[in-house]
Amino acid sequence: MLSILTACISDIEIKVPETENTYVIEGWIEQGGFAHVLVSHSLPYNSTIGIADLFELLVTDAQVTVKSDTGEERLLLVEDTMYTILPVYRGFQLRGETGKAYTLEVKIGDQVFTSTDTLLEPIGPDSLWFSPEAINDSLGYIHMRLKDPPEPGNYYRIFTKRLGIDTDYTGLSGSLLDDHLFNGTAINFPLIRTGITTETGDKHFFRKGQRVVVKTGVITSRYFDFLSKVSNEIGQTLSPLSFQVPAVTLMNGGALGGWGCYAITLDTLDIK
Amino acid sequence: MDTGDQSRIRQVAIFLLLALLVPKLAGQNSVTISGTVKNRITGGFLAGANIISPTAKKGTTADHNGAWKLILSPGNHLLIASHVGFRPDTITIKREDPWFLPYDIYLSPDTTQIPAARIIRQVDTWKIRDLPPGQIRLSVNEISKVPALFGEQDLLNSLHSLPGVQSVSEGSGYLYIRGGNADQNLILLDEAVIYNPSHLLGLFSVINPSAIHSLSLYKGGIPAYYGDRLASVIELTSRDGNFRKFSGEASLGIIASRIFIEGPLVKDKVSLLFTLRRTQLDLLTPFLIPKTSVFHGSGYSFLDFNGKISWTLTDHNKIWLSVYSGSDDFRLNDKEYTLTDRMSWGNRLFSLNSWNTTPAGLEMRTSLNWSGYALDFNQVYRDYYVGLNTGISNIKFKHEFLIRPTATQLIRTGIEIQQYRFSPYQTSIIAGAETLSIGDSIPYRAREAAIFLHHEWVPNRSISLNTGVRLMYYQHRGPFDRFVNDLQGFPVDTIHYPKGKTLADYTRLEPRISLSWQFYPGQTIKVSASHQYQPVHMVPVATTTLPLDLWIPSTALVAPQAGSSFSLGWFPDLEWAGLEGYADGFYRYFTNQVEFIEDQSLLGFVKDNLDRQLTTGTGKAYGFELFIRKKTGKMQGWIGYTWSQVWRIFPGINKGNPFHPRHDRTHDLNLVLMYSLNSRWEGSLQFVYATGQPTTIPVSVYVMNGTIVQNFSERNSIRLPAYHRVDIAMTRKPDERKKFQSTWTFSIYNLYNRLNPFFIYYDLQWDYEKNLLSTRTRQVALLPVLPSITWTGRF
Repeated sequence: MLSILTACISDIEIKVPETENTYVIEGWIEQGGFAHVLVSHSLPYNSTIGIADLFELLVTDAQVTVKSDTGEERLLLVEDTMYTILPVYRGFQLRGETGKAYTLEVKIGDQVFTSTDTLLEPIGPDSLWFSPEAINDSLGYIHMRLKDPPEPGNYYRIFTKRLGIDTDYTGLSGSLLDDHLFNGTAINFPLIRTGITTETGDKHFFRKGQRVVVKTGVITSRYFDFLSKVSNEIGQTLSPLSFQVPAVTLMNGGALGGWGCYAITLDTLDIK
Repeated sequence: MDTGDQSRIRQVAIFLLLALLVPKLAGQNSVTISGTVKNRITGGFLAGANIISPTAKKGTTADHNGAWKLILSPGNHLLIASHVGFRPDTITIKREDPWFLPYDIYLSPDTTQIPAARIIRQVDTWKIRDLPPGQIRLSVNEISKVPALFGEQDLLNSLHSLPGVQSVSEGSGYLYIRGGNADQNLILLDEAVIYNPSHLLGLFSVINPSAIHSLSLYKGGIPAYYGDRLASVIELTSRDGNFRKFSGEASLGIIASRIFIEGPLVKDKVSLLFTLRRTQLDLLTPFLIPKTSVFHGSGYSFLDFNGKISWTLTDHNKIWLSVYSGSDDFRLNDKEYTLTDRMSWGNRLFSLNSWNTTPAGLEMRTSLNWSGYALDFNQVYRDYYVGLNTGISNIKFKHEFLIRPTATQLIRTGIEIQQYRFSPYQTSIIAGAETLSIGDSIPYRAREAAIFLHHEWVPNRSISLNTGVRLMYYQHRGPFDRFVNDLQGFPVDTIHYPKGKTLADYTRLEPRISLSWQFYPGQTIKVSASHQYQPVHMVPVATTTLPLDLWIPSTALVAPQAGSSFSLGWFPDLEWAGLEGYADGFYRYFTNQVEFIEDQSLLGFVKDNLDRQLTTGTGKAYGFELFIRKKTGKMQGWIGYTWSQVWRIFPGINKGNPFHPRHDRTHDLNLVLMYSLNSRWEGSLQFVYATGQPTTIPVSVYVMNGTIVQNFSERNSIRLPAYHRVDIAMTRKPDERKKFQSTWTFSIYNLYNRLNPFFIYYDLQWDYEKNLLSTRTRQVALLPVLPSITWTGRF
């Protein structure tokens, strides 16, 4: 009976068929910001990956170009620790503007991969507040009140960054929202923090005394669908409730990955 | 209906027409003798009793109403009626007797023969060779001896030990029969449908064996008086209460306990049966999860109740009301996150039935029943609430006549009318003061009417031909809201269909035929062919057997499932060796199979009409079954083996490539042995082996959004390790001379502690010291070696 409650977990050996490595492209641009694109390739499942291997994954000889109706820019491979510890292809001239479409083109050898997305108008939160938890009132969730515009079809992705603690914005658990369920209304919801942390006890919570920047991004439906599916795939790692399906992609040409535009607002909350 | 369907129907229909015409040419130099067999003490009908005529070398078995019929030549005959646990009796039929009057035979219990487990109610005296193609029966007697998990006898789970009946994983309560899906089995309890047959993640079925009289399984050659499912019919008949005295039974096991009481309300006229079963898990969890734990207050329980009132108006008129109600309740408290999850699910059914016969041999059966299944899930965190419920219910009226126009023919004809209500996925989300709007808030409603004609013809000792046809008419009806979506799938308008408006309708013809031919003394072949339709669909949303499956109706976007089944078997007479057995091959082809669109997330379809989130495809299954059974002597048991291949093809899934569903098993072997050591002790052993479950695994990983993402293989292209285990049980039978009788059962499930995977998952391990990320595949095995002890007392 106890076994039903606790179950028996053990390693299992399953022969994994060999597959060819695939290029993986992850790119984005924010309004007022420059394009950032990571180009890498996949690894066999049974690989062990170290920090050094992450650099090995990178494709450093790609020609990465972003185009819009006002011009185009070939991105340069740089280290930009604001977003990632890995070298990233980055623009320095072409800034994101709302209402414009941007096309990403990546050439690796004789292969060409493309994807196009549009930068929409930003929508920010009405308010942010903190509510402590029952067991430890110094920990708790940040709550957001979001007023969705009356027009249907708004898609959001929300990030947080604890100033002085996090080096990057972290996509929240359940960070993807669309207004199919709450079109034109104002809703409240908690922001549940995710990401690898070595802090003991904080888990998914924020802590009193922290200063947190909340980034609310408005994205297109196609990019939202892509991110939702990637999020599902990550969730499938541990969930017996989901179907495992082949990887999704927004890239034309056979690479995995996607290219998206964020219309962002930034709001800061001092947790007291 | 596609061209393939029409072609298959045409072939079967021609065969059927010929079969219906041929009996006209047969002679009528015989008479049909009929009657009932009853228990002289309780007054109850004795289903499964044997009636044989040694002079004519013919015999038959009483049906679940104790009714029997035998075709004999005019003249004098001696009939012997027998039933295990009863003294045989004989009656003499004389040429001058009015043969059309029924003969009623009363048998007295023989206490010297009564086996220890007095829950035995059906006698295992039938022979597979004599049953129609595809049909098999299980006796409660046999099931009581097969080792069971935690000592809980389980009729439905025991069907897994038969060839052609497969499971999907450890602890799965669903049945997959000859390649069919779980929803393609029609499980009937007194004519009412059981939609979800499982308690406790499928470890136990909802069928309490105390309440059951008999079980028949139709794997193929399904007669026309059953419809709405493609793969099988599992017909459970509840037992009558004792008509003459009160008695009872109680049992106490590690997981569940039950009590059973029966007795007369009006002696020899009206009887009552009542049985209640509940688990003790919820009583034990407070000790297993202490108050200091953040999970304190979590727990699980199940409860089920069966009741039956039987009223014997006359020996030829009977009315009975059956009631079943079962519920499972799971609760997870997490004090740390102030979070509560609660999930409850269960079946309910009510069935009012009547059975009438006339001296002329006309028999009428009528059933009015309601059955339903519902699941409620909710999660509460402070003032945030997510609720989800799904369910199905139907009310059914069935009326049929059994007519014997000649001594060699039986016609079974009637109508069946049903009304369905589906709530496939209703969700409510409350965030603070706001309640969010969700799609498909109006339940789906449907109606179905069917007429059927089933014909049995036994022209001589060597041939038995069953033919039938069923005509089904189905409607999806209003009220209903159909969302009109923009290109992004966002609902921009809603079309409301008023109550009673027909949104879609389907008319379908279902021909059936089966033939049993003894082509040489002791050598019988059986052939069956049928084409069937199924207007209801259960769409799986999980890779485990959690009760999250959603029932949806056929609509304008989803047509009824269709299936053609063919079987050819050889049934030799092995009685000279004390055995019986068969080799049976089958082929099935399915169309309009339903699955969710690939990569559909669980919450994705709350935005839209559910039937728009589905994709349809085809399936096929083929294989053969071998079965050998020993029914006499101290050592009894059976061995069953199935080789099969099951495929599905969906244009929108797996890039259109064929894939195996999870219940595909190339090899499936079951061995059941029962040994009677002496008058007080019996032992039993069960060995199960099956090819590993097809599964989908990650074949590569990549970095996206700062996280390792796994890229999966083609659907179900990899096999898990083979499934196997051995269970043993010893039963100490009671002293029959004592008024209060105790039975003790000691059993060990999974004797050699084989860790068969319940499900697998993929773990990413980060070594902080070495800054290394590694992947590994892990399995969760639900049931290791599990000893148990069960006590049953009867008074």
